[in-house]
Amino acid sequence: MNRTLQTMQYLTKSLKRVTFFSIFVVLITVIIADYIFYKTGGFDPGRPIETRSMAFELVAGSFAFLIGLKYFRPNFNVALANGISRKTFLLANLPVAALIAVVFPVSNLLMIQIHNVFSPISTMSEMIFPLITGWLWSLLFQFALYFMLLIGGWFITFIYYRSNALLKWIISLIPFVFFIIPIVDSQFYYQSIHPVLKNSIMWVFHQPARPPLLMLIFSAILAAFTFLLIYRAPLKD
Amino acid sequence: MSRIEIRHVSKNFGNTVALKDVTATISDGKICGLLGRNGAGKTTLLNIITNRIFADQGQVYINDEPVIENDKIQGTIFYMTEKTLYPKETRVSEVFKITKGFYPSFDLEYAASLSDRFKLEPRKKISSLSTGYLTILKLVLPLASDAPITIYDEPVLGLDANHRDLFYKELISHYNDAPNTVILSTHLIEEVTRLLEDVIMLREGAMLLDQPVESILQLAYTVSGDQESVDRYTADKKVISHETLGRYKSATLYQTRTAADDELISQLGLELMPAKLQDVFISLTN
Repeated sequence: MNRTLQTMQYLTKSLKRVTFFSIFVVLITVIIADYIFYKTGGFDPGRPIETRSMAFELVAGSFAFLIGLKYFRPNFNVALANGISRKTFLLANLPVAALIAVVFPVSNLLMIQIHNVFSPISTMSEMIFPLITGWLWSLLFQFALYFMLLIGGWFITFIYYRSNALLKWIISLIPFVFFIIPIVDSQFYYQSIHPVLKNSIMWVFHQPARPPLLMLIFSAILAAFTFLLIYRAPLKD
Repeated sequence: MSRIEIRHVSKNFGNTVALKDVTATISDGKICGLLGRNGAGKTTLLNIITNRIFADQGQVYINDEPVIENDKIQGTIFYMTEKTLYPKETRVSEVFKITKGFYPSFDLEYAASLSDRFKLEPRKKISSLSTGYLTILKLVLPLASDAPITIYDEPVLGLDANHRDLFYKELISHYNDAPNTVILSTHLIEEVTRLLEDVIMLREGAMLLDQPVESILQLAYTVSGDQESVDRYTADKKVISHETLGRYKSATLYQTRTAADDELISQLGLELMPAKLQDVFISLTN
């Protein structure tokens, strides 16, 4: 059998359990949300029936990111232990990541369909961005989001893997810069950065095709960078 | 055919020189010993052969194909390392199944039979295995892989004498059935001497020897007897080690022995014995 197929088969088996666990957590989140809704009188027949949004993307997206972060490196070790090249390993990971990125939204949509029989719910993105209408767009949006987060997990894992101690510290501190800037120089932030961010977000969500397309383009860029990082990566302890 | 050619390989780790222009050939279907003291560069060389790290200079070829990022070639090698590369929560039986996925020729029945003989429990997780049993698990994998090239780095680490004996017997029996290329990197030279056909010896990252064991042992011999006679015989010869006990002396030499030498040994009444590979190793690497 082709070495890429062998690796894909291994990766699918290796990530099967955590993928189902993630779906289980999403389900539990829905149940808890329903329980809170019930406890606060949400299912009162006297109240008008409203579509509620649930944090499907938040939970599934967090798991997609964690899968990318936690499993990429151990699987890299297993691949090298079995004579798989770095290129083949990365190529085999892409369709498996795509599969996970499909399984998550499909299971979310199934949950929504079943739930809608009793009480209407929707995803967060559908509520926040009304342009995302219909199950196909929702599926595409979520697919692109989870795929990007998975690859983002790989990228961060390998940035750390290839960095020395100093660089690891610098990378770890980068996210805090975004929190510190508005506090340290609020005038600069609100005059220069905030309008750019706001306009960019507005532009992205102006067309329903833009968010998934941009996320997929960003995924491709991250995958390319991950390849550059993994290409000559030595095996470490 | 699985001929390994190491051509001018050098590798540094920061300021530490791990390998210095190493060139060697490992012939097809031979059991080759990779010997050297701690830090001599054995594991570094094996890691380069198996694409786990990269050489700074030089290249390794298997059947004239470079090994770097070569799936086809790497699929013909099974490398047993000191490091455990599987997640610690993986069960022994799962490791076998994973290996079968990557090496279709991996014999699950043989692996089960070996596990049984070594008393390795397939249901145990890697994290719960002792050092010895972890080594056994790592030994079962290359033995059952049926890969054309199997590499063992410290294969008997933490094994008791019985398990070591069982491993050597199994290795020989397996080799007799399918004479693939085997590389053994170990410090227990005396135990593996009977298995080895070729030897590569490294000292401080540099190549010291790349020869058949037979020709090394043909060159090395020990003479013993009266101190004066031994000194007279060894006066103009390459002595690699010697021991003195009172008036008794033994000296190990490393050079071609001629008929004239044999005659002189006889005339001086010295005892002639074959040298041990370990003695040659100690002398050459000191």
